[in-house]
Amino acid sequence: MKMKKLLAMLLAGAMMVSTAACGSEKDRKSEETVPAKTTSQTATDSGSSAESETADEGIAPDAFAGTEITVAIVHNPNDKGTPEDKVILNILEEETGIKANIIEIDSGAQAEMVGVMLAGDMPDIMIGLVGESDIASNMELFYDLSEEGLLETYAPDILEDIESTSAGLESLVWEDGSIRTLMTNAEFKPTGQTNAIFFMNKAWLDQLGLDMPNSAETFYEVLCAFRDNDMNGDGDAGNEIPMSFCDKLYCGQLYNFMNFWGLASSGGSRAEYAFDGETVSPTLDTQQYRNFLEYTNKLADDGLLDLEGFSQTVEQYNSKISSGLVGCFYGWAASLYTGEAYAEDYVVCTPFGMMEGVDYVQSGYQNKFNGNRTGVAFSADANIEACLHWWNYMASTPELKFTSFRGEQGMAWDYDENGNAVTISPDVSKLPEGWTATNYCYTYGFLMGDRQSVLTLDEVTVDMKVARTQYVYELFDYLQPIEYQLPSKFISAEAVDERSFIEVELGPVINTFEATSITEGVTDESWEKYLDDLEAVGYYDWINWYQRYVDGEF
Amino acid sequence: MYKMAEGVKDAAKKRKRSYTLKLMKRNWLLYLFLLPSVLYVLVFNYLPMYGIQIAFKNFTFVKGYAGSEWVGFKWFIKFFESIQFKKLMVNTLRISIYSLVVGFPIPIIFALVMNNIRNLKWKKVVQTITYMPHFISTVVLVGMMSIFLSPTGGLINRLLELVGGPGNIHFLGKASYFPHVYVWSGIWQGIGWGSIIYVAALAGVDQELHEAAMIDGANKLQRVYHIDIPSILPTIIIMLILRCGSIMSVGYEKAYLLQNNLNLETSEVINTYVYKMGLLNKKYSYSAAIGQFNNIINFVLLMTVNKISRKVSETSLW
Amino acid sequence: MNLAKSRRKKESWDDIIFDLICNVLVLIVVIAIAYPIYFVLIASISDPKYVNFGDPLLYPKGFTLDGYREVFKNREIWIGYANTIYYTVFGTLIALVCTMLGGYALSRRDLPGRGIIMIFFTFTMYFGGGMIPTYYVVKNLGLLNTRTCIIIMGAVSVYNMIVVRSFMQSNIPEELREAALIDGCGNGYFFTKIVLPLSKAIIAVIVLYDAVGMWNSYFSAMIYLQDKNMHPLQLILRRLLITTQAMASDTTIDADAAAEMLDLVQNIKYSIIVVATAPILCVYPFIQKYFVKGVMIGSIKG
Repeated sequence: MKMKKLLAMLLAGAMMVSTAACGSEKDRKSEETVPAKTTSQTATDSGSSAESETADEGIAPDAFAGTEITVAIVHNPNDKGTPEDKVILNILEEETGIKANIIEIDSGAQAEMVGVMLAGDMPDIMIGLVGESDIASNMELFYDLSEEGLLETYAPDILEDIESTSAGLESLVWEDGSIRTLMTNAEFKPTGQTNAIFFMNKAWLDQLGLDMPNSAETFYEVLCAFRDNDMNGDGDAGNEIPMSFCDKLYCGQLYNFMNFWGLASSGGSRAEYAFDGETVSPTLDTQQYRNFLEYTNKLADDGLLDLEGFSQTVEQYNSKISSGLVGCFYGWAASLYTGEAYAEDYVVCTPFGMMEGVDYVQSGYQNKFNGNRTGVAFSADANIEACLHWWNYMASTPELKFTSFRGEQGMAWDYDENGNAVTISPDVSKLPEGWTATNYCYTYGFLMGDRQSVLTLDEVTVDMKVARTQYVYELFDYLQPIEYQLPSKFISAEAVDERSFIEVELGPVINTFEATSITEGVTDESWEKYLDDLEAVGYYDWINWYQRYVDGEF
Repeated sequence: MYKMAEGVKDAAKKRKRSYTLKLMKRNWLLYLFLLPSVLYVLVFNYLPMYGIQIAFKNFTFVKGYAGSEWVGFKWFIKFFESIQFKKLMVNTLRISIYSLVVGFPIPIIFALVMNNIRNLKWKKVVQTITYMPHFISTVVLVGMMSIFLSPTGGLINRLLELVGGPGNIHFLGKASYFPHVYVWSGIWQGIGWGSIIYVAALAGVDQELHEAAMIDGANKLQRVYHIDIPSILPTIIIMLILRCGSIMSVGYEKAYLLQNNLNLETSEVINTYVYKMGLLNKKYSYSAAIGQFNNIINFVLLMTVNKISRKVSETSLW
Repeated sequence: MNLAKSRRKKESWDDIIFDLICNVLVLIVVIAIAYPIYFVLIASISDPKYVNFGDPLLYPKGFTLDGYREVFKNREIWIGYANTIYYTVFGTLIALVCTMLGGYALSRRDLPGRGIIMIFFTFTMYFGGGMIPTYYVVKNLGLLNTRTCIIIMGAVSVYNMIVVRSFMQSNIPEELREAALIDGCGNGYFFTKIVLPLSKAIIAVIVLYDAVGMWNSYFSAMIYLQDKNMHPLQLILRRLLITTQAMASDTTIDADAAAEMLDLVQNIKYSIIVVATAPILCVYPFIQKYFVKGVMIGSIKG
């Protein structure tokens, strides 16, 4: 109770600060017309730095002098250097007196090394390494950060950042009242979150004098026109691919097409259930789903859908798109696949419902944070004060945040004329032979790009690729409201087990039925059998599991 | 009577024991030869074996190897009761028996054929080329297969088209094709490498036998059949025994990479399942149990085949 | 020479047909294998866009050396090369010694306890404690982050030992040893002076197995070596290829970086194979000469 009061006060304080900062922030954002190449991020150095200085007063500068801690992180393949190159680590050592011994884990060995560490070799700090299930089944290995006054004293800046999110510190608390992780930047992705985006070849549409499709019929007609005409003008009317996808690409799967039937997921998965804030309901036995299968099968039968999408590699997919052969496709950001030659041709396909009375829904949520399941965890045996102080120090001023993010001031970030910190692209000619700008940031910045200690939230962490952000904004209204997101809470290992054992059985049934239905069609008979199978492998138990989860039964 | 018989037996035993001791004494150096390997295996294989117990426990890191509670055969039963169990077994056995039946003899035949090539330079070239695919990593191999087997203009389809085939077969997109694709790509990659051991064994075939047979008027085929094959038979049998002892191990990496929703029905094998369980769901105990189940079957098979072989051919592992 | 001449004279139709079939078979296999290998070569100097359509059929299309440039400008590659050669040479040496000694001892039928020892070894081919306990053994021995660790971890292959054992059993006649024994020749002398010279072919095979195994291995290094300066070539290449691919499909990374990595993967995919394989391919011809017929028993018996 006492703690809650304190938190409420802190929250209020943080809100005041952030509203103060917001005033100036908003204006700047509106005039921010970002040039195509140089990505830019702005930060405010108003409130937070002043705040942190006062908060730090409690700790003497030499309180931890001579302390050594071990920190495990994943080594990014773009990082060409050693931990000694990381500017922020040297600053931290100088300023806090804490020497951090960095253990870099090869990203290919992450799963194995986490096992090894949890089995006995726990480093003091593990950044972005442990997942929810690791923590759930090994609670006692991780330091309980809910100890009164601990975060307030040793991690005031981080705490402030967390409190300023919509979910607040509350979202980190486990059912037993403990806190085992702190968020990193990865858990703080503001604005809309979505995954696959459907791109349409606008140039081809214009060439044919066709409008953007807005119904099942017009979509079909457009694809037929793509198929029948020599769209790319190479003299061969037969090599155009009206619609393609790639199941091996994380944002290229065909199931995203279900969005057109009003079936949406949390983002990077199939819409296997629907949640409206209260009730979890099945989706894969609905008429919409069947209609989706039948329609897609019709596309496949008529040669409008590239069935190689089920098996092709990402590289093959890429080549098809960058050769200008594809009419519409799923992807992350069009320019990523099209190459410069066709970059301008593709636009986001305007959303519409494929069925009577069904509206398009984009997978993902409006104004969503990425979640708070993992982040940075501290060993139960760690010198927690030193570790927290060290971790917090990085986030105590915008300057330090940016230094930890992109290295020394002046290369990959700098102050603009208004005195705000902005990221800039490092000058490649000043870099060692063969380095890219990305190499610079990963080598001299600390931690992987998505694992910073918290940056100043909403204003700063706008997606880096401007184009991608624009696409998301275009679809913003179609994203699900944030209330439709399942509440994020930690549950017991047994409960997780129960669900994942059903999932293991469920997955193959759905995957196989969906793929074969699209290639070979759906009959009443196959549909009935599929419904029986769904029941047999526990689909409804699985749905029910989520309902129980929402109802707080675990 | 009884006592006397015992006495005879005792004496025989004693004699045998003293003979064994004599042999041991005489061959002390051989034990020394074995020492480094035995030490290595003791330290790096037997010392960590306490890890086996997690298959019978509900392992968590907090409680550790010793402290986690025993659950008996819970995980094994869970696996047997899984709806996928039957499918996994069938798929695994289908692929491994297929590749045993086809993939095992082919390198032997290839070695025999190569052995009969007289032009030494050409022979060397052949050997060098055929062993190259061994060096292509699975990821790249699968990428190449995807290109060659593409239904739109892949090399295989183009060739099929030339001979009047359909030319748009989706090899990777049909469950019934998967075992063929898996096994034959394996043969492609392994034929040269797999034949090396037989090539070496053939180098040891006594040439006098060949010359004698030639004088008797035996033709080449007859000599291959009556001299070459019997000479390398012990090697073949040992390789076969070892191969039978890995029947449950269909490598996960290639199967996993070739897998897609269209061929899932035949491409999901035990090892891909374990991989998904271990990696995606971090079920240490469950994956360990399935692994042990695999190993036990493999080991029992090895023992059985070895026993049969000892009876039939007098060649065996021990 | 004489022999060859007389052989040719005697050649019957059977043999000519047999030869023909052999050569045709070999030719088919060679084409089936050589073409994809050739494809790798031309793909490594072609524009990846065409490669993914399977377009460069007989000659490179969209000629480019970007892939090689990308691989070679990576300084780590050269360090990796040096490390790999070091591990391969010493690892193979140790493994060869262990395997030959062990394999020979086990091939002797007059070695008491040989069956038990075989089972003792074979058991480890199937059952193991898993990665984590092994890691702690290595750690407690103080081998973490040392080059010795990589060399030692590949020292004993039970499989190879079985291969050697069975080879010696069928190629070193029992009578030979008995004869030597009567001449008062001890085990050590017999092994070095008679067994080893007779086992050149199998030594060649084991050297090949071990060297190639060492050359291609990366897992031990990935787990046990933290220091990047000790990493072998394969680990570095793997990092370039696979992890870069994984990163490119990481949702949390920004699109710019992802595009950059995707390009990189495409460019280097095939050149990496060539770079990583060429040196070890050169080993084969040296090994090959020990596979020539008749260098063994025949020469000794007379």
